[in-house]
Amino acid sequence: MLLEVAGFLAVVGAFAAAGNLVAASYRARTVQLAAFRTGLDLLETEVTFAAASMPVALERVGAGLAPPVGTVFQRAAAYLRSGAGLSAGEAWERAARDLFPDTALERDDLDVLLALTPYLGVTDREDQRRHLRLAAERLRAREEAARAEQGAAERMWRYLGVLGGLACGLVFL
Amino acid sequence: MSPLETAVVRKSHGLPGPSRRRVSVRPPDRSEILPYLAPGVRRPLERLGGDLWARAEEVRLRRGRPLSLVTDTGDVWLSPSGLPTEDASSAHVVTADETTKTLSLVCEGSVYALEEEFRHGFVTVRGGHRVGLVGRAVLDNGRVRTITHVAGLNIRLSREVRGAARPLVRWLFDRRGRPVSTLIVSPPGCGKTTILRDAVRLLSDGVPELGLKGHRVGLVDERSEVAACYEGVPQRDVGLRTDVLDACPKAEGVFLLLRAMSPEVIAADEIGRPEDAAALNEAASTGAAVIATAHGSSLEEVAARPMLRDLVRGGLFRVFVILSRRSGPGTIERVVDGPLRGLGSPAGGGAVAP
Repeated sequence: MLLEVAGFLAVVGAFAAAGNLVAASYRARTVQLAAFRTGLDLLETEVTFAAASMPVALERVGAGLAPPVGTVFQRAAAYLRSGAGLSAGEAWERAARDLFPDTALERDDLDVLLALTPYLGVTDREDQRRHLRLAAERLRAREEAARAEQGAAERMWRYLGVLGGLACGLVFL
Repeated sequence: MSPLETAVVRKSHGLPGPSRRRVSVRPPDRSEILPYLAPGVRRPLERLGGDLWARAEEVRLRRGRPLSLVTDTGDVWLSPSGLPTEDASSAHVVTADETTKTLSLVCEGSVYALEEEFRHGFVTVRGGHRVGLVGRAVLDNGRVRTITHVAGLNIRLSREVRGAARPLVRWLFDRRGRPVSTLIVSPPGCGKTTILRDAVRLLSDGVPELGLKGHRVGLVDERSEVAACYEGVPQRDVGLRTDVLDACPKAEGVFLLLRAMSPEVIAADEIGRPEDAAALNEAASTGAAVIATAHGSSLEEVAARPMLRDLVRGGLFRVFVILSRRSGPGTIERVVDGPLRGLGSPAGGGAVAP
């Protein structure tokens, strides 16, 4: 009997943890979208006010952000410095694609980041400001939608985890 | 004979005269250039024979046209495999993507940080190589604000020629071993900057075997071509006592160096603006010698230019060196020794021809 109760609790616990994991991914997406938006704001400051070179600007921005978002900026800087003949846009694209699997972002979020590829670093300050602000605004819109979705989804996945665990546990009992 | 050449020859003070000895040419390092090129353009230059590379002066990328190399004997087209060819149709044709990417690499992905350089039409990269740009000029109040749609790049390869200014030692120092104010004049591509760099090194280090001591030199390197500074540190040998103010407008730089570094010699490349003249006169009034370069095919032409006329005729410079490419870049065509207050009348000045 004791073994059956322990098994039941283990099944419920496993399902609840799985539900929490999915719920956390919704929260992580919102947090990461906000972090990318902050990163692009900081990059705009580095570019337009400090006129820092792109590798330096990316490095500085990346150092101030938690992984995996900060790592995208830092890896882009590393690609630029590698001497592999990549433009700033190409380095950014490659870093974002490399680390996309480590993030909680959706494919459409990635597309917003990749929209910077043709423009990053190749125009004057005013134009850089325009493109970076546009990308940041698009991220803000996606972040707000993600936040709205997050509340309901988080609750649903948590309940689903626990309830699914209970249902399965009862079947096995 | 020009008025300059009719004048009195100053007595030599026993220092070595013009010669071609002790010149060591350091060809441009290919690894300094290749990282700035898009892969499609990089490949032919990687495969290029060492002899041809050693003779290269410029690499030219023109969108939609053949990749070319300017050497001391003229232009050659380069095939995709790096072979020189006279047949333009077999040469590597530079694509739009290659010019855009090369520009991005030259700017290290930071075009926005080089607005001042774009205004002047060139960017100086690590190693002191100058990349000239052409495309569509954007004007602001009638002045070039920037260049967009860059369609052509010209990479002028900087080379260090130690000993290039050695034939000028007798004029760079006076009999008491003090530096003499000197203006180096030549058309573009004749080695002005190379000679200036070596002259700065000689003035800074001195020439111990001739008993000439070194002096504190303040170099205003507006285009970063003389010392080729990277993050403030000279990449070329400009002497042990040379303080370099990198990427600074000449006029402001001269005043700054005079205030901060008490130089005995002020050096500047390509003077020509009215404010340059005022700054150099100020430097001379503090007792510092001035060594500078100016564009021009002859001294008469330089003296006729409104911006330089006063400097040349005002007695600031004591020695004038005229360069040409007659026997290759850096050929010392003529050295005029003596103030030119009387330029235009047979009574003034002094002249020495090597």
